[in-house]
Amino acid sequence: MSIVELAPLIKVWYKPLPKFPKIPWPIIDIKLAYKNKTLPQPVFSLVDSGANFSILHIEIAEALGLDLKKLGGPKPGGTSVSGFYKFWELPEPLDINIYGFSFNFKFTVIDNPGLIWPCILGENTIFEVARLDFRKFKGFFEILFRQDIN
Amino acid sequence: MKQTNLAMILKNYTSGWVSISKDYKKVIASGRTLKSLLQKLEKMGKPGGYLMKAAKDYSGYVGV
Repeated sequence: MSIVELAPLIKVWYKPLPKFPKIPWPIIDIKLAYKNKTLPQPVFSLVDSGANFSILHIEIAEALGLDLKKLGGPKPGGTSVSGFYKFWELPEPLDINIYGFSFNFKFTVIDNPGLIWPCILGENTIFEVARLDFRKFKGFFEILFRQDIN
Repeated sequence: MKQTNLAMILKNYTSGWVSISKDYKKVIASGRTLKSLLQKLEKMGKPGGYLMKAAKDYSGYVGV
């Protein structure tokens, strides 16, 4: 088994949110771009090891200039623990920058304007390019990006 | 990274989109839609900050 070199760790504090502030969330800020369009500010994104794929809010996708109508109607995605959902799979990856590390990630857009997260990073993105050590009991988590691909 | 209490900053925002200041101390602009928020930020001279969705309750989310 080969050893993967990792960049120095980045420590990120869990962030409390309204209503249940005692339940903090693993949230990072990411810069998003698609072709010649960049969002003017980084976006808070949930890091979710329970998500099989990574999700963009429909309004974020539109702000990046993605024309979802051109992709046809959303496909039925089946049933998740959140209920039945439909989605668009973006044909091209987006440019993403996480604390200075740049990647091209594929995203899915869920047909749900009520989604409460601008972006969710699941197993197919950040977990492929970094080691994440969650230390909720200490109130933080650590991100160590792989050196061999970044 | 700095510790951030989004519970305090977002407590008065229950829907739409917000832009949180770079120092994580306040909401600098908000909008019912992301498009309207981005238009406001443009008029404000593109200040630095972070984009976030405002919600009454974030606890209902479970992984997809």
